[in-house]
Amino acid sequence: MMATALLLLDGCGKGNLRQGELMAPMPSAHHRAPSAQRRGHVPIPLRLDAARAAAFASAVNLKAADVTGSKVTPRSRDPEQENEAEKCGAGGSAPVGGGSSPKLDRGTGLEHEAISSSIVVLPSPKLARADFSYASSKAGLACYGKALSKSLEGEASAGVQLGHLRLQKLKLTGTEGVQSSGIRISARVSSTSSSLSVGLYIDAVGFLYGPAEIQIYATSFVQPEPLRTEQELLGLLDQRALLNRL
Amino acid sequence: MAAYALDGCNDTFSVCMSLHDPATRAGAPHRSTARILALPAVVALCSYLLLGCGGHGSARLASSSCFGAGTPEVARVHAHSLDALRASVLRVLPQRVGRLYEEGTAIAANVLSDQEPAPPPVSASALRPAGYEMRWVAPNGDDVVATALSFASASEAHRFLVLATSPRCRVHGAQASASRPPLARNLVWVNPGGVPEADVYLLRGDRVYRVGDVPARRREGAATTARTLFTIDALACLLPGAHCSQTSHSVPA
Repeated sequence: MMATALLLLDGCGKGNLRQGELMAPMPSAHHRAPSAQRRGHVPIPLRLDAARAAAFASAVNLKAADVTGSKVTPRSRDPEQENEAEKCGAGGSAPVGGGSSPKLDRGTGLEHEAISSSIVVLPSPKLARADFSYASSKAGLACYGKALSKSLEGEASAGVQLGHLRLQKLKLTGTEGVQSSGIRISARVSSTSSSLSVGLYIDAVGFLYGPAEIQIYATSFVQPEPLRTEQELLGLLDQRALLNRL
Repeated sequence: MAAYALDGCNDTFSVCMSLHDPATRAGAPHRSTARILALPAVVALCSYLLLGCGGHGSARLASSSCFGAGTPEVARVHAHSLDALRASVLRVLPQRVGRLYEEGTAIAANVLSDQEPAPPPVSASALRPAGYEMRWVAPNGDDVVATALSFASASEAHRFLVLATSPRCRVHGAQASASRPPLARNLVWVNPGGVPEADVYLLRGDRVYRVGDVPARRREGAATTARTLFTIDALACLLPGAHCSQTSHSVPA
């Protein structure tokens, strides 16, 4: 899958724990409700191009105002990690364009969480569906698991130990008919210099909007981001998408 | 009401628990907790609850008789103004203690109806209600809520506090001074879900804070109610400006 955003937790403030940038892909099949089926056939009156895709992403993606208590922090990009995850895509179709939200951080120490969103526009809804479907397949998940493990290995220096990664599928259904799916990655993170050990949770959930894949990413320690929060943010992005048609 | 499904929730306890979030509070919460406290006011509240608990058919009637057009409403603010409100309620139950399952903006009526907090508006620049609410599942399974409401003035906040804590505005409501924080008020009532709930209200300047607790299981009795009141009063001491003379480092299970 082409959409690969990522989340960086710079120093959680406890011991030597540091969480690096992780590639969190968005997998899973899109189960459509009747209204969601209409979304699957978004009319495309104009030719898709990079500028339109970027404008759409800019209008729809999360803003700081959407995540109360958050602050915008610069994204750090690791091309090597992105390349790894991009190899897991369905392949064969380059995205038209898109964009990511700022990384929205809130909380300190173990209560630090990071939320962001990403939109990738493909040349057609058919290609977007294929890309989305591949990510939910066994092969897709295995590929992402491998890419994630590799990226996390890089963090295993500096006195940090990362436990076994767990990948779970997520499905969220809301009142607006937005049916989203995604993945939850969890692991234990421990410090080699102390007995401190905490859970690390990375959620990547999203939905299809015509030729666009719309996703949010949430990273947190101790406990995962509430599913309701993720559902509400996806609902928000869906409403914005309807107001800013591609 | 959103419905969630999670494939293969056999990994972590917390993930599996997420499955049950909406059911925990399907339209109306549960809440309440733990330990005997020999305060006359509390005993009176407990007795009242013991006698009154049971009927829930008239919950909305009692509410509507007090809250109407003249009810003070929270101010309207820009998004960044909510940061401080969220920070004020966030401290009530740290994430490593309670499992947060929802949060969002709240209006004055939330504390009466127990309706769920609202998601952010579509427009990032839109004004929103100056109220914020967070809800957790406590380690003992209780449903804990903390709400911060900011009004246009201190007098408006006071007017709202009087209404919100008035027993006649609640089904089987009873009110008394809280053991702490100073000047706080306890309220026990049967919420719109038909479940006994204990709240503590705190007025500080133009803000009204509420901390509420509904038990995981319906356990009626004076001891249960006393424990619930003890818990919420202790948690309320963590609110800004609570000015408690002593703060508990733990609450009863």
